[in-house]
Amino acid sequence: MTVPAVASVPGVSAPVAVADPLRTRVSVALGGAAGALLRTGLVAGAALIAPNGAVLALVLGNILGAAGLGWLVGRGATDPRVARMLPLLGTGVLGAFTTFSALVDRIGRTLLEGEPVLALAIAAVSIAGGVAAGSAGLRIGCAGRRRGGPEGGRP
Amino acid sequence: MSAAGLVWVTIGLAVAGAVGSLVRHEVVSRAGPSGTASRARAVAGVNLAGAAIVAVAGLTDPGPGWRTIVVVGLAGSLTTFSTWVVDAVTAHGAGRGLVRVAAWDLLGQLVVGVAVVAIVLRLG
Repeated sequence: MTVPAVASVPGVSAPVAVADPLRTRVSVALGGAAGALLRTGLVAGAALIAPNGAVLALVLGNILGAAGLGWLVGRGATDPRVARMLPLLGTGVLGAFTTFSALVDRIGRTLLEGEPVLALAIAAVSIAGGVAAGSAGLRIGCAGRRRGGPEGGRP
Repeated sequence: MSAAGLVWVTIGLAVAGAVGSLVRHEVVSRAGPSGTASRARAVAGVNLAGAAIVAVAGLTDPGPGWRTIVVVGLAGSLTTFSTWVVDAVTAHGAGRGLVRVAAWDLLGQLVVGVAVVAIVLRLG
């Protein structure tokens, strides 16, 4: 997720200060390195466990990442502490942990291997699951803000 | 792969992940807030550029280490799934039409990305 200097979600007022651009870039780079390594480790590990483990890990990792990003964006819209973490955790870690290129590469190769039903299933589960997870994460992040305010639910 | 090779590939992956994420950030952060059409175009730009990198890399034989660094590290981090779908959710919430978001931002981008990969691999 690439986030603007001031986080904003439709219908939610933006509360936080503009971040230092250099610090934002360093955070994005560090998070991106971590996200790429996490994704590679997850997919490689899953491939060792099961024949279709790499595909499953790719799809599930993308969906979980979308849920996490939705939560961060929803919560970060009004909680400055979470908003400050968006470049590192959102744009960096989750942005790099989830991937579009590996997804379309897998779908394209599956099509060329003569398995259109499997390719369609990967595409459908990814889009439907990703949108549902991202939407749920966003809703939960916003709901937590409303319940607890910027202090994250503390009394 | 030797232990030393594994270390270098790991370092390369981390650096490529950082570079890909930074490029994505520079492109997308200039395009406006989440949910806008300009932002959707920027995300589509980096995602489809990453798909093209993966497709072209599939035609060459740079060795497994370099392939991992370029395809998994650079293209994998340049592109993003999470921003793509969360932006689609916020786009609908911001008033862009559901059909338009689903057809163009989601399905359209996926179909073009798959087509880029499949066509390049088939031609190669």
